[in-house]
Amino acid sequence: MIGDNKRRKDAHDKMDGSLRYTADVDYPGLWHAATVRAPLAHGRLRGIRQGGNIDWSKLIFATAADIPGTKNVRMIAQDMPFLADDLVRYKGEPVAVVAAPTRAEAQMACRAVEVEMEPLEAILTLDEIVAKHQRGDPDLEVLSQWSFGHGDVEAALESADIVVEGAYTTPHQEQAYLETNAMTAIPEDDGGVCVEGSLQCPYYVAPAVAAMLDVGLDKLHVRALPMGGAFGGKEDFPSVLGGHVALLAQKAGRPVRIVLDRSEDIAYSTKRHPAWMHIRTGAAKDGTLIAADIDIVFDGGAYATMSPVVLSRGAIHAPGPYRWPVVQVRAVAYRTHTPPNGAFRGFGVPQTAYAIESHMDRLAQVCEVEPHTFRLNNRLRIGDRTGTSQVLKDSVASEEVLKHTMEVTDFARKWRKWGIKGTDKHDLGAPARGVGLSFFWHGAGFTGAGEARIAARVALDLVQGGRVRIRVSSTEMGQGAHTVLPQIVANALGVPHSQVSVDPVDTRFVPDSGPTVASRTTMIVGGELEGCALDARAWLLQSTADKLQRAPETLSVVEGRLRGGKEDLGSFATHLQAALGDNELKTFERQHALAPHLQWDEASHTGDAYATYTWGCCVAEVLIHRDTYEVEVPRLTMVVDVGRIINPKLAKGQVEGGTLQALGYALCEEVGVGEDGALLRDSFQTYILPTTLDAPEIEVHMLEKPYTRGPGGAKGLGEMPMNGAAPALANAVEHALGVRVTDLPLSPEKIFAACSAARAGRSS
Amino acid sequence: MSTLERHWLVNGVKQTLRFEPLARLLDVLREQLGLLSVKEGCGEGECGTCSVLIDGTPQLACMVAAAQLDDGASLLTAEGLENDALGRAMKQGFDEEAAVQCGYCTPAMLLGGYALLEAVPEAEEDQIRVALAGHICRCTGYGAIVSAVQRAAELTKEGA
Ligand code: FES
Ligand code: FES
Repeated sequence: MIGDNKRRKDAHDKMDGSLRYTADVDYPGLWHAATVRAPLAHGRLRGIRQGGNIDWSKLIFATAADIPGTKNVRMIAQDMPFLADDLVRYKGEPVAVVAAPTRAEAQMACRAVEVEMEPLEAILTLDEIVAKHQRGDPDLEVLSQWSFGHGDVEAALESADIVVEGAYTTPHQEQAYLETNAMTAIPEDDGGVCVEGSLQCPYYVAPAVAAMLDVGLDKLHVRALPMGGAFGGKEDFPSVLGGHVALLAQKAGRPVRIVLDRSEDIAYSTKRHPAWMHIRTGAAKDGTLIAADIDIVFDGGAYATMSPVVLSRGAIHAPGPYRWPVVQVRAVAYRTHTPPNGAFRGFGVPQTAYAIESHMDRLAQVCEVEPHTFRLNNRLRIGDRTGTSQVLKDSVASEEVLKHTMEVTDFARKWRKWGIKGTDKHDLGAPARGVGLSFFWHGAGFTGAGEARIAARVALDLVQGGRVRIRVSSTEMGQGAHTVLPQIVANALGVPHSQVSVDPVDTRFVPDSGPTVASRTTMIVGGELEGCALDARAWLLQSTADKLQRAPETLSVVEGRLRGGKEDLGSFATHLQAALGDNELKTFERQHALAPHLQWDEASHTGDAYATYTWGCCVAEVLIHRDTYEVEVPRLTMVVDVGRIINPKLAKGQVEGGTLQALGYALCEEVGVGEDGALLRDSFQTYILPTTLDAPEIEVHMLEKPYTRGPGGAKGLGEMPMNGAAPALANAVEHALGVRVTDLPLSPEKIFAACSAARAGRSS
Repeated sequence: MSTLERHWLVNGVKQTLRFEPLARLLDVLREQLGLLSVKEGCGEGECGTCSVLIDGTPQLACMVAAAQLDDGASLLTAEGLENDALGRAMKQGFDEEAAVQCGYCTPAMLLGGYALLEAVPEAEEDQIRVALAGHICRCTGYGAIVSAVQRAAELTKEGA
């Protein structure tokens, strides 16, 4: 069962439209909400006037003054208001919300509200904060910072034969889930409120909204409906919208829904943090690494929200999967007056992986070692120490992944033949051809003590009739959790997959298994569920053994039947009925605890940052058109180790999808910030996403290096595919043309400019 | 504003609809007929998730005014795919190839594949890619979707 291509449980309902997403659920008397937004990026609110030709008595209008409880949204940091009160920190920040019978009426009313502001000076771009950072300008507001490492980096660089230095920058990236953010609040008969919607983390939304309404969690529950994609974009942001609709629903005494339109969603919801990474590295002549010194700046946007944890993960992965005898990392997120940046698949790592993997190619070049050999020689191994001084103990697949990649892609031969310095004859009429490699890792589960703090709880019900029901707060956003978790349970219990299902995710009925983020669902939640299933199986076998007067170890459950050796003893359901007696069901619960050997000190960022890591390699092949400088990608190969594959087709889908998002990040996706602080490309017309015609052939190879504490050996999977393609493509472009573009995306304009600069350099 | 009235054949069933002159086809299908497989992804003609077949041709329901469709127009949405062999093959292909992830793009993708295979039963990969180029999928990387349409073509051939 583990390792089988079980079909998705939700496929049919998604195909015929019977599955209900948030905007598909109808409520009698439902009203619709819209948002009044601040006109300036930074300033003080001086007045909010309900003007226009609108009968305001027929609508519901709410500002910060109407919030009965906590005015700020409870997240990792609790600094962002639901509705701006005094200070506005980004253009478009919500200052009021309106509910009306139709969306059009609500939007019209919002347009009639005049918001008066007294402007303050705004800091808008990564470039500005990096310039100030380099000058040590005290104006900058730090939202979060971490530094860690080991050894005297200056002395080590001094002693190195070769020192290479470089800076790399990456832009905002929009998650671009196809279903925009949507939330509904429904007042209930008992005076409570239900908040439901397109959200990844019900136990983030529930306490945030309850605190805002100043009610207990007994008066507020959250239902996570199936999502039309999320990718991190529905991790923290739904708490904001949930607060808005709950406030309006309470005032209106009726259900209220908000559905963002696409341009609002792009312009005002969270994005991937723009980042600048400055790397100094030293190596011996033979290419052995000596030291790395890494300085990281993230553009946090207007509020800290998730920045502390995104920055932390990005920084921890910044030295790459390499053995550095000496390494120091300093990372800081500063405030800008743009919408807060937050979670997006990869969570800080795509930025730093792009930087270090671009840099490693440059260092290898100076050391005159081929890129694959350079990586193989310097890769982390069992017993090595990472930047946080974690000593790697098991499930390190660095060598397997690199070697397998060389084998299946024939990288070395292509690298020697192609490229500006390759042995192939150059045909200037044909596109320039190149190949690039990246090597990356990804910590599975929450960072450091995160999993200990969450202490994920799961429950499994065995129900009369033989049904097995999973109760967890892990949500289904398309990744397949509600198919894969039953697979893990069915496998451990010995029943068919069809007999196991995941209950609707409602905080009233499911325990807090933690947020659906950080590639933790299969590994952590699945691991605990596997434990529950084994407990349940043992209980059933014991009870049956008692009745039959046999030893429990002589019994087993196979495909929904109880067996005593070869003897069929009847169905699971029959024996379950006997064991349950008069009870309707029996519940098995488990709670996650960190393995006792894991140690982490948050303040110094020292110790076991992750229980385990996944490992991957990406090889990109490019053709660059010499007249347009457009990068065509005929093929991307991903080789990834995920511990143990539960469902190969679903796993492959995760890798393919993540890889294409990474290709978009590398080549075409860019939001851009205007002079007034507005995000510029706020539609799918201008924010360019890869289509069927841009998507390369994505070849996926999965390796299995089991992790002892994962279900069946599985580790995390969802995020890692986002880390590889951007640096592999940057390296392939450099290989093809001999120029390096150090800021994403690798647009034709930038490649052309780099080529022109190189030509000018050569001729002067 | 005066209300318009139209008689269409929707998923094989005769329907009478009344709507405001500017009503979008997307809203009419969702709100009046409860055809919730028709999804709004962008509302501006860029993502393809609202696509439906009008007289066999894919059209964006967010860009088409319901009033543009004459009496007698025949519409197909994903709800109607169960009604014929090609529609069922298309769904089977998507299921087998794991081409459904979040599912938001899926109904329109199914219809896009259906319209293609109706015209070109043995469509090659590049024809499939061209036919679906107007549909954004953020989840799959498209590979599984292309395979699914190919699988549907195979199934239809076997069944024929
Ligand atoms: S909703 Fe019609 S094309 Fe996007
Ligand atoms: S499956 Fe999610 S957008 Fe295609």
